[in-house]
Amino acid sequence: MTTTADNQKLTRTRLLQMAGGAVLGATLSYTFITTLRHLGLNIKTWPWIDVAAFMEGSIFAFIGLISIAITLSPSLTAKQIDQTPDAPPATRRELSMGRLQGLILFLAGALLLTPLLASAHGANTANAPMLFAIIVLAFLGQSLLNYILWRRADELARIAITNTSSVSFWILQGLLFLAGSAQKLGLLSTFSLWTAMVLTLGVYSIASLVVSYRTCSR
Amino acid sequence: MQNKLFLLRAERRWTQADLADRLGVSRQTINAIETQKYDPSLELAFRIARLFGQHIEELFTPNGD
Repeated sequence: MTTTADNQKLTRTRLLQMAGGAVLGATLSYTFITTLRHLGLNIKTWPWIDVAAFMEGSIFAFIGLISIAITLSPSLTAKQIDQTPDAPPATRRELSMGRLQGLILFLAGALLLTPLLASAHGANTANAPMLFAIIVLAFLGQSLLNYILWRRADELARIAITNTSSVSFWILQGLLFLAGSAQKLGLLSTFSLWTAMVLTLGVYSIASLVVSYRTCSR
Repeated sequence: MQNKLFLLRAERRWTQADLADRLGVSRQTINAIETQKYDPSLELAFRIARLFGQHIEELFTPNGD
C-alpha cells in the first residue's frame, strides 16, 4: 500500500538502479572480454551458442558476486527486498538468504563458464576427465545449496520457484516438440546437447525473471 | 482476494519486517499479500487471523463480494 509520491520515488530509484547497473555491466563486460583476449581467447571467433553461453555464465557469475557484495550492507540489502520508507535494515537471516542466493547464482555462472573456457583454451583427453570431475563436484555442491535454499524459503518463494519450473517446462517441451518435428521432416539439422542446455538455461532465466517480477514486485 | 493486512499493520505501527518476523515469513510475502499480488495459503491465513485476533473472513474478502 503506497502513495503516489512513494511510487514516483520508487520509479526514480529503479531507473537510477537500472542506469547504474547498465554502466557497471558495460564496464565489467569490457574488462572481462579484454582480459580474455589477453589470455588468447577471442570470443568474436566463437560460434553463436558459445557466445550466448558466455554471456549467460558471465551474467550469472557477476550478479551472484554483486548479490553477495550487497549483503555486506544490511541497509542496502533491506532496500532490495523492502521498498517501504520505514524499512529497517536486513536481519541476519535475510543477509544469509541473500548470500546463499548470490552463491548459487555465482556457482551456476562458474559451472557454465568452466567447460566453455576450458574447451576454448584447449582442454584435451588428458585433462578433460579431471575437469569433468571438478564440474560434477561443483554441480553437486550447487544442487545441495539449491536444496538448502528451498528448505529455508517461505511459501511465496517456493511458489515462485515452482511457477518458474512450470513455465519453463511448458515452453521448453513445446520448443522441443517443434524442433523434433522439424528435424523429423528434414527441416532442421541436428544440434548438440550443449546447444540444448544453453537454450534451456536461457529460457529458465527469462521465466525466472518474469515470474519473480510478477510475484514479488509492486 | 482483498485483505485488511495493511490497515491492521498500520494500526499497530508495525513495519512489514515486524509483521514478517511475527508470522515467520519474508518481507516480500507480506508486501505481496498487502498489494494483493499473492493470496496466502490457508495455514498462513490462519496464522495472520490468530495474530490479529480476527476471523479469516473478516480479514480476507473475495474480489467479487
